Amino acid sequence: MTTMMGESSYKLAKEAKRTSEMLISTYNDDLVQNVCREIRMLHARAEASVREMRNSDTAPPNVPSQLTQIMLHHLTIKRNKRILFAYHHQRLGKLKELSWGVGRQSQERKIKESLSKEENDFLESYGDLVNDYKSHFLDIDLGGNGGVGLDPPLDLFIEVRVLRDAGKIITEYGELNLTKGNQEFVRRSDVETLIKAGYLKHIA
Amino acid sequence: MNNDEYYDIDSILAEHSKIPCIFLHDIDASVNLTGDGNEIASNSRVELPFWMAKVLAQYRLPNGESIVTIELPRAYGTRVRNSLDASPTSIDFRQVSPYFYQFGTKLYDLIIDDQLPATLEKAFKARLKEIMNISLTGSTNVGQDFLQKLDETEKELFKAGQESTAELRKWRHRRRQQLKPVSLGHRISSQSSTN
Repeated sequence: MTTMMGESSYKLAKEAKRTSEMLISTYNDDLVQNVCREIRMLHARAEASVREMRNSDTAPPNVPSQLTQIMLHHLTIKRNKRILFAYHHQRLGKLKELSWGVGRQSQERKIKESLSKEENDFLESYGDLVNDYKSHFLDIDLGGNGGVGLDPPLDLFIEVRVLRDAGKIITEYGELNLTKGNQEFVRRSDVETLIKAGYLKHIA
Repeated sequence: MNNDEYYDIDSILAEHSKIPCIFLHDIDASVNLTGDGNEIASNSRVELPFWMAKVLAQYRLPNGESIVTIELPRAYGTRVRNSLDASPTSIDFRQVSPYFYQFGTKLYDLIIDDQLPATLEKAFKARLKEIMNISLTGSTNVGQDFLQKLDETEKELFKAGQESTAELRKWRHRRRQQLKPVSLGHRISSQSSTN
């Protein structure tokens, strides 16, 4: 193999840098698997080299060269491991942010597709943890899952766009006719649950 | 390396920068150091990524010798330093070394160079004035070519400046009740301190 060791992990690191500002990004399963495979291969080779050096009866031809080789394998393994950790660490941070942030509901399918199976499991369990925590303070809206969060709202009426047909809604202040594609100027308190459920979208 | 730096993507990418190494022994072709299957003769110079070079340079063979010695990379050599002295704001860090400051601070442990911290500091201060000037006044056309020449650290600072200006503008137009400072903490990783 004539490719330089550590190339796959460098690509992974660059991808992590590229997606550092995006909230959701597709899990690059191929690259991750490549890096893992490289680690296993390097490990096998390093073990073989050490065994060979230990077992040989005659003095090995070029000690510095062999030592360099083993060290190189070891260093590359450590480097790959570090990059794998950093990549996953960055993604997990964003997933945690998702669970506390706004608007997870409306993009659930897109989110599920971009994540690996383990990340999906994590998102669910972490979401459960967060809900469990919030259940102790139901009076306070700590944010997350479409709630407004700790910042008090600035305006009484907001602009919303209708994403799905919901027909006529009767609120305590009057009627609302929701047809897909319409833009309405409505009272915030009326529509908060609808935004959470994904029927409306708040336009800033 | 402190614990925060392990997961930091910028630190990882900075350590990918190449640094010239002089090998004190012959290395077989099978080791495949450079990736093209050539062997390396004693006393020849090879450019290796920092993460490899650092450990190889600090390692001692059983008989006490080293495998490689390290040289200062071209990006921190005399020519660049002279240009920095002459005109700090005209150097294109994207071409010279995109992680100029972060990689430079990593070199402190490895190479003894008394001038290096002072050089970095001087260049940083001079360029920072220009960066903040552009980012805080909100002018979009002026200084575009200077912005192309920033390294990664300077880019983050520029973004922070832009964010501050945007927040201030929103606050002025009553779209924000509370003016919060832009946190530099998560943008700039902590770097090893200079002496």
